[in-house]
Amino acid sequence: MARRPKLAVWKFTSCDGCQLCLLDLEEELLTLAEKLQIAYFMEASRAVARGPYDLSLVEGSVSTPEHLQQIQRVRRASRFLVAIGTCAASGGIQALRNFAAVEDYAAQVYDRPELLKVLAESTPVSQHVPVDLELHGCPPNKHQVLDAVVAFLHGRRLPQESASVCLECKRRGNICVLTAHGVPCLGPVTRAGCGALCPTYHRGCYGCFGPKETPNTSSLSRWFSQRLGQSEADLVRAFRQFYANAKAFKKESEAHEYIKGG
Amino acid sequence: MTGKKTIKVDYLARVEGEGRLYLRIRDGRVAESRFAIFEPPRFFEAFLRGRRFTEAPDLTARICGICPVAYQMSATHAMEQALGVKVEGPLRDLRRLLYCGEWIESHALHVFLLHAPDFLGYQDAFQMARDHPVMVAFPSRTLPGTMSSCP
Ligand code: SF4
Ligand code: SF4
Repeated sequence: MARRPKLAVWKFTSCDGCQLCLLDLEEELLTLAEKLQIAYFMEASRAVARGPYDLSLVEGSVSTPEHLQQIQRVRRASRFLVAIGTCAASGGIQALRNFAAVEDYAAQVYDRPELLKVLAESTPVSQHVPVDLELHGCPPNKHQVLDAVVAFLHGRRLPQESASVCLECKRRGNICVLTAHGVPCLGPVTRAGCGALCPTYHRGCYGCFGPKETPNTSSLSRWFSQRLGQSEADLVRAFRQFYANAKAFKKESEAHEYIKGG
Repeated sequence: MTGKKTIKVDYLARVEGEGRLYLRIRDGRVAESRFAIFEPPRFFEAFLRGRRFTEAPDLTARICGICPVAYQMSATHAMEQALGVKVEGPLRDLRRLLYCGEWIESHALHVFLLHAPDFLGYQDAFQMARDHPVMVAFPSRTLPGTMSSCP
């Protein structure tokens, strides 16, 4: 039998939700385990095989001084590196600290904040090492994770999603919560991939798959403020959620913050 | 049991979070135990300040990927308490159903995929499935999606 490619799954600052997408594959996971050698995957196994690894899936953001070296080691040991999920691709919800002073945050939460060793910002993997592919979503859809692994096995490129969540809404025949019910929805500026999960259940999208290609955030903000009566503070919070650290959303949230501050 | 033994696990496997364990055993008794959690902080308590109360459940759901509903529900209860709201009737029943659904799901995951390999002497569920395919096939065939919280 030909050598099976080695798979490694790494955790940085995260909730484990993205790695769980792999375990959630259930029976498909067993098939994957035949095609790949599961060489390092602490969430699933205590068996550890030495690198180098053919495919590395990295979950989590870079947020501690140790991570700075660790991510270099992971990159060196990996042939193909995929950042999985919002934390790894953008910094995650913990990147909200990038808009505050991390010392203040630490003092609000811990009795002995001086014991913590953390970086001022929570950042995506791509800010530190070259990344071969990014999968977005908090968490990504498990079929996307499977598709990425299968694409790797077949040496095929995975097409990147460029459409917005609105397109998925239309495909499902949803009634638009924004236009019909006046619910603020980030769908028009958010990357498709979740299958319009929230709008399907009559909720506004909160952007956990990140900004789509060329998102018109300022136009959506205008809609929110003029038609829904949202305040500047509401707009800051709308764009400062799971993808707060993504360029387009960061710029939009800051625009409303600074106008307000004068 | 006599003699000395040291158990050192640098990275605990098959759990959410990162930890290490050190045990020194002398004559069958634990003489020293050290447990370290080195999971980096994410500062949920800090960034929740200044958010709208309606946002707390979605934000706190990301504390743990294995049991997001537990955090979601706790945040919901906290907000209701703060506002003096009591949820009863079918809505409460529905919530209970959601909560219990996750409870079953996360326990199925723990029992079959995360803990069973230890009790049966395997490194992981993949090895275990070779000898006992039913351990992995049973929950996914009888209760499809039971071990899944991914969309
Ligand atoms: S992207 Fe979301 S689901 Fe994935 S590890 Fe981060 S918080 Fe968890
Ligand atoms: S509900 Fe949201 S995502 Fe769906 S079509 Fe309307 S704006 Fe777009």
